[in-house]
Formats: sequence, structure tokens, C-alpha cells
Amino acid sequence: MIEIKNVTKTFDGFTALHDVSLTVPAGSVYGLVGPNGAGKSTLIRCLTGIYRPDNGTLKADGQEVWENAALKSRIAAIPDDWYYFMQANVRDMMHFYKGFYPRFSMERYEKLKEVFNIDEKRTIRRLSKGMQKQVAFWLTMCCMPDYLVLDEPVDGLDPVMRRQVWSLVMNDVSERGTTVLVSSHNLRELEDVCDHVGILERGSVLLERSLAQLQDNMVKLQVVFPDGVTEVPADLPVLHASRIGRIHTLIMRMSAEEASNLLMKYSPLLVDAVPLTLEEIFIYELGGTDYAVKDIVL
Amino acid sequence: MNWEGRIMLSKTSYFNATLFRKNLTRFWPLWGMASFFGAIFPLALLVQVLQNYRFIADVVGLEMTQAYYAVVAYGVPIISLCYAILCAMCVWNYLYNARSVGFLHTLPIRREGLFVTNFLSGMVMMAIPYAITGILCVLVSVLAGGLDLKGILITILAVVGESFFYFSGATLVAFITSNIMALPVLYFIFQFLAVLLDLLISVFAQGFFFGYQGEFTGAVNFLSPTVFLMENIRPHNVYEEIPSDVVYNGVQEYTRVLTDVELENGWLILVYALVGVLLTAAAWLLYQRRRSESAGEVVAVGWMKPIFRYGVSFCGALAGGLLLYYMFWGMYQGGQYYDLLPLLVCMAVAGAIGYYLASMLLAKSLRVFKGSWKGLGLVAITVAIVCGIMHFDLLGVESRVPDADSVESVQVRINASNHLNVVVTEPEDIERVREAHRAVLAHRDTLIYRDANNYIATDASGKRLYYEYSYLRLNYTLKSGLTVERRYPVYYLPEEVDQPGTAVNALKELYSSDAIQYADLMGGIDKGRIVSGELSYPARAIKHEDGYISWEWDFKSLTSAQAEALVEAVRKDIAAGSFGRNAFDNERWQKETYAASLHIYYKTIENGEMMDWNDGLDLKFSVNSTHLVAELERQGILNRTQLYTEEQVYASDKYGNTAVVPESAIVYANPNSAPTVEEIISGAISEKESIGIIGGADGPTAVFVTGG
Repeated sequence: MIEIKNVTKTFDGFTALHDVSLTVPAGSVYGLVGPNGAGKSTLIRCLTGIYRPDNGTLKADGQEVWENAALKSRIAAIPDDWYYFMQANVRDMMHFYKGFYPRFSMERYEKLKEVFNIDEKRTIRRLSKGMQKQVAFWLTMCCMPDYLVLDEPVDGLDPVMRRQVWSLVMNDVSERGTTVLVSSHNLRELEDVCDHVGILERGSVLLERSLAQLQDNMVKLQVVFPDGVTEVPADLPVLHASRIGRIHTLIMRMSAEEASNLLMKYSPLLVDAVPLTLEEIFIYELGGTDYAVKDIVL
Repeated sequence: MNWEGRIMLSKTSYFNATLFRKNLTRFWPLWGMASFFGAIFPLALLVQVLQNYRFIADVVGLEMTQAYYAVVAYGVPIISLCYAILCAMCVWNYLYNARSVGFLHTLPIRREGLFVTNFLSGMVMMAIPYAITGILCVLVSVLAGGLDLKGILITILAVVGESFFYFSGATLVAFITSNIMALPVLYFIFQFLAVLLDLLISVFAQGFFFGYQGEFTGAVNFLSPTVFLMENIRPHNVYEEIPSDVVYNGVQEYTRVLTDVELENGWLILVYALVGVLLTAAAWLLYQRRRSESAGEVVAVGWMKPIFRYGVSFCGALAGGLLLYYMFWGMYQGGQYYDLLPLLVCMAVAGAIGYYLASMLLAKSLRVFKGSWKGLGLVAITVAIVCGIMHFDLLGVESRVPDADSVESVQVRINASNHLNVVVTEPEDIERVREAHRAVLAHRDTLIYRDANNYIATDASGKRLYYEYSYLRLNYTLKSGLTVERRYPVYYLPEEVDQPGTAVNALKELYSSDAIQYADLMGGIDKGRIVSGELSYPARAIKHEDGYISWEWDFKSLTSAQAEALVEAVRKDIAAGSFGRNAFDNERWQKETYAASLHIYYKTIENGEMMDWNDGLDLKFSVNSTHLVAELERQGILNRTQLYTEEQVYASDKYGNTAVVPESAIVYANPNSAPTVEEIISGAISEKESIGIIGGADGPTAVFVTGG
């Protein structure tokens, strides 16, 4: 389990993280989402021991991460801009990783060579951005980590390779109980793999729930009101409402059952609950803090 | 699919072999190139050995050691200075890039491990070229038949010590900055900051303080290790004189044989190596507190940023201010002393430029002007305060005449017709010097004015009439070991020389005092034993056909007894006040001082031991040196009539200006131009003169006219 408690991090007076607390349950895949500049990468860098927080604690397995080499040997990370030595090829980098991660698996390395199909003698600098990302996955997965921290992991990968790497990650989660913390803007993909989500906004945690809880906490209803009711009643607590013909689409922050009960007093002709996507949840949750997509007339 | 891998024991420790190997393999071009250039030295040694073809084991070994020590003393400080920063740039460059610092700090290794591993990598990279060079040198030594193990061991220790010190220094700077471009710049600035500031502050101060010397003092050289090491460490050869097989004229000949080579002041390297330990510890402390997010910043340590900003600002004010001042003001003024207001303006402008430059570097932005007035105000106020303190001499630098009790000795140098350079140690003599010092300071304003406007007036023809010039240089050595050095330009009017209360009169009184003259002339001889002497004197003036007169000089060697007696006569003359007269009256000095010089050679005795070499005293004496002239006559060396004055000798060294040369001294280069017998009979030639003719049947070849 990863526990982040009351973490604050400032850069020259600018507060990048403010009293952030998160919990990533063991064996779960935790999606860290948030708008640009919310502090996701900063939090990840604190978690991987690059940045030292001003306040708070970051623990994995109950141990502080900062300067804990034994613990860090069980944590592997892929940053959004993975670093490699200028003249190094895949094999050189493999030797380097192997020298640091005691559980580095050569068996896995050989097997993944077939998966990624990249010439291991080729200088990494000369590979495409997507192929460099594949190399990062290849080597990171060979470290046999208990904790995998990914920052925009599939950025630059083609759709097939995206599926491939997610498959590898999910396989590790299911077979080895690996705990994954992943930051991404691709909410569609996160929705498929995450079981927990935390939303960061302006350096603070806006909400943190399991995906099921999240989906249960917000509902999208398609409603047809009786004749004479053309507008959504003002006393209904809707986050967002839209209308096509007589069908009103309402987003409400409550369970589907609660929302249906609330609508009953208006004797609707039709009430139909539709599941929200993570993207919709993200937008409407942040909409409360002025992050809704604005209708801009140019 | 089962992904479970083989579980291994943790590899985390203070040293990571993978990183170490990676560093060495990544940066092999650097140490490979250095090794290649290093190998040139043993190759040169080999060529030298082969050319000399001397396979004498003992001597070759020591000669090799000589060469090693010469490299240690004069080569290794420079080489290590430059090479250390290259190695540091290689092993610490990961700190300067957000991607690389993130990567390395994510790895399962503590910062201690990264520090130790990278430091050792850098040190090994430093050592490899030296090791290769050293091994090749040893092979050459063996080939030449001589291997001085002591010399090799000391060389190894010295090279390791210097390499460690320089790499430690580079490492510390690597943790102060976070910018790869700033690293070498800051490193070299730190290496030479002390000597540069020493020079800069001295130059700055000399424009404020009358008499203050704007020279490099060297007081803080130890803070600039390369300068200090190269100044103080040198090979010292020890020779032994061994009787040779040759006996020449019954005298045994000796051969000098090199018996040992020492590395003089080599212990300084050990001291710097220990300082290197402290620098490494400081670097480690900075790493512990270092923020990874500082990658790219010019100064990575928060509390050092204001120091950097104001340091650059004040150094800019000092160096840039002086430059601006001389460019726009000083060049067009006379004298060396500042005009306060233009200087203040120039320093404030240069300080502001430095302040903004430093701010831009720190902020990595050109937008640093907002809210900068406070910092600028602080710079301007500080500049004004410093200049005010200097201008009004609030620290008493200019007016300082060291207390008599605190003075160990004073070296006095006075520029006069006969230059005075003496070290006085007796309290009463020191007091005389202090009195002259005070007298010169009392005329500060006049002397400064004359220094800036060193001509009195312009005559009708437009020719400038200049002041006479002298100077007083004082170098006090205090009992505390410190020194106080002053140099005063003294411009004067001839009539001021004998006018009490003037600066030049004070100089003259000091110059001509018996004690100072005695110390100047007899100070050395009194501590030694006279061994011989020589009198050089103008013997005859050769008058050429075109009227040109040149003098022929004769030399008379003196035995130690003769020289002793002459020196005793000089002592009497000094006691009678015959020496030191007219030094500031050039005309009288020319008229009264003889062109002849008395050279006394003596051996100095120190701690009861007589030195090998001869010291010498050159004496100029005048018509007033009655005891000395009498002694010269008594010994039959020269009589008074054979002594010619400076005026007689040197004024005649020009075409047509023969009036001051006595006829008795003239020898005619062409006998036909000599006075005729008729001229002599007619009395055109004085009766007291005698004539000598050298020549044969076809006429005289030279006619000597003497006496008169």
C-alpha cells in the first residue's frame, strides 16, 4: 500500500502540492488525474524519491520512501520523459538497470525482447519516441517491481502497443499483486484499467474514490417530463443539464436510485440512468471549480 | 505467463560498481585523451636519456627525480586545475538536467552511494592518466639504469594529493551550482578570486591613499592554491663536492655531484590535501540539502544566492567602476588620485550592471527589474559608504605611521643623486625614518598637487620648467610579521632642499644623517670579512680629431689589508659628515663627487658561518671625503690630482664640450693635434705640466700632458 499524507511541496514560493493525502491500496491500479499543472508529476517525483517534500510523509509498505534504497529497489518508475545515456543501447541500459535492481529478471528481459521486437544493439537515441517508451517499459518491467509508478505511460505509443503494455501491467497486477500508480490524461484508457481514482486540482486532492464509488456518486439521467414542464425544475440539484427535443439529460451528484426518487415528484414520463464515463466525471467534478468546458463563440 | 524472476540480495550500499563502471566507460575519451598527452612526457624523457646515453644508475635516478619534481612543482598544479574540472563536469553533470537527476535519484541507491561512487569515479579518471604516465616514466628510468624509489614515491603522493585537492574543489563548486556552463566559470573564479581581489582592492585603494602601494600584496595567495603551490614548491638539488683526479697547479680540483633531490615545501601538498577532505565534506553536506528541482540554476544553494547577487554586484562596482572611471574621467586627469564624485557615479553604474546581471542569471530571465530598487539602493549606499571611508581615511591607512615600538625594521629607499637603499633596525634610526615619514605626510596636499601637475611653469619659448623629483619608499616590517609599504613621490624646488619644514628637507636630513649613511654603506661590511677591493677610475681622456672626448678607465686591485684601511677611512668620513652631502643638489653633486668608484668585496658571516659567495659594496666618494682620499694617497694608489669629478668626466662625453676636462688629463688620439713645442715654450701650456712623448723616429704616436 502507498500512503501519502499531508504532503506539501513548494518551488521558490509557489505551492505545487498543498497538504496532499492519498492512499493507494495494495494490488490496485490507481489513476491520478487532474488538469495540467495540478501537481501530478510533482507528486510522482516526491513518491519516487526525486523531490523531498517540505512537509508530510510518503510511505510504501509502511516505510518512508525518501533515501530508502531497499524500498526503492521494489519501486520502478517510468517518467513522462524517460532518461537514457546518450551513447547507450538497450543492452547497455539493461546492464545498468540490472546493476541497481536486485530482482532484475533476465528471463523476462529475453521474453519481452520478442514482445517489443526492438534491436537491442541500436542506440536508444536513434529510436523513435514511441520505441524509446517501449524500451522504458521493457526494462522497467524486468525490475520486477512491487510498486509501479507511471507518468503518462502510453504517451507516444501506437494503439496496439498501448494495449500490449497495459496487458503487461495488468498481468503483473493480477499475478504478482503489483501496486500501480498511474498518472494520465487519457481517461478513456484509465477507465479500463483503474480501480481507484484520485483527482488533483491546483495542488490539492479534489476527491479520491474507487471507480465504482465514483460512478455511483454521480449519475447521468435521461428524463422526459410531463406536458407543460419545459424547463428542469429549479430545485433539482443538477450539475449539468441539456435538452434534445423533450429529452433532458441531467448530471446529478448522487446515486441513480436517489436521483430517480427525487424526480418522481415531477411524475416524469421517462427516467433512464446512463453510466458516466471517467471523462465525464472528471469534467463535471472539476466543473465545480470552474473547469467546465466553456462554450466559446469565436 | 509467470513473470516471477530470480530474487537476489539487495545491492544497495555506499558504492555501486555498475555506476562506477558506467562512468568510466562513458567518459573514456576524456581520460584516454589525457593519458595520450601524458605519455608524451615519458617519451620526451626517453629521447633525452637515449641522446645523453648516460646509464649511470645513481645519477640517472636522481636526474629523473629532478624531472618528476619539476613537473610536480610547475606542471601538476596547472594540469590538475584544468583536468579536475573536466572530470567533475563528467561525473556531476547528471545534477544539472531534470531528466538525468530524476533518473539517478529514482534508482535504489542513497545519495551517499551516488556521491561516493561518482567521487571515486572522478578520482580514478584523474588518476588514470597520471598512473599511465608514471608507469611509463618508471619504465624509462629502469631502461636508463636508474630508479630512485624515494623520488617516485614522493611524486606519486604529491600527484595524488594535488589531484585530490583539485577534484574536491571542483566537486564543491559542482554542488554550489546546478548549471553545467556555470560550473567551470565559477570554479576558475573561486580558484583565483583571492589574488584577483587582492590586486583589485590594492589598485582601488591606491587611488585614495597618498603613498599607498597598489601592488599585488600576495597576502592571501594561499587561498589561490595554484598560485601558492607554484610559488612555493620547487625541486631542490643537493650537491656534494668530491675531490677529482685532477690537480691543477698543485691545487686539488673538485667535482660537484648530485647526491639528493628534495621537493622543497612539498608538505604544502599534504596541507591542501587535508583541505580537500574538508571541501569534500562540504560538498557532501550540500548534496544532502540539495534540491533536485534546482537543476539548471546558476546557484543551487538558496542561502548563497544573495551572496552571489551582491558579490557580483560589488566586484562589478569595483572592477567595472574603475574601468569606467579611467575610460571616461581618469584618463583625462593628472595624477593617480581619484575625483570622488565621478568615481562614485561610475561605481554605482557598474554595480547596478553587476546586480542586474547576477539577478538575470539567478532568475534565468531578463525580467528582473521589478522591485529591484531596494537591492540597487543597497549597492549604491554600500559603494558610497566604502568610498566615503576611503576618501576620508576613516581607517587611518593613509595617515598611518607605524608605532616605533611595533617596528622590527624599515627598508628605506630614497631616490637622489646617489640612490639610498638601507634597512635600519636601531630604534633611533627607525625614529628618524618615522620623522621623515610624518614630514612627508604633512605635505600631502602639496605633493599630490605636484604629482598631478609636475611642471612649475612654461617659459617664453613654451618649454616647461619641471620640479626636481625624488621619492621615499618605506617598507616597515612589524614585530607582528606584517609589513607596511609606502611610496611617496616628492617633487621639489631646488631652494626647498635646505629650507627646514619642507618634505625634501626632511628627506635630505634623513638621507645625510650619519647613522643612515653608515647603515647604508657599512651595514653589510660590518657583518662580514673584507677579502679584497678594487678601485675603478677614469685615467685619461682621449681627445679625438673631431673633438670628441672619450675616457679610458683603469682598475687597481686592492688587497684585503688595503681595502680594510680604506674602509676605515670611509668610517671616519661618515663620522665627519662627508658622505650624503648634496644628494638633492644635482649640480653640486656633479661638481664635488668623483667619477671613481671604490669596490669592496667581503664575505658575509651568518650565525658564525662564512658564506661561500662574495658580497660587494660600491662606494662613490667626493672631494669632501678627505680621510678616504688621504688614505688613497698614503697607500700610493692615487693622488688627489688623479681624481676627476663626475662633471669633468661625464660632461665631456659630448662633442665639443671639453671645457671641464682638465688639459692634464687629455691624451691626443692624433699626436699632430697635440700642443706644439712653441705652444709649450710660449706658455700656452702651463709650466707645471709635464710632457711625455711615446713614439719613434717618424714622430710621436702619443703625447701625454700631465700635471698643471
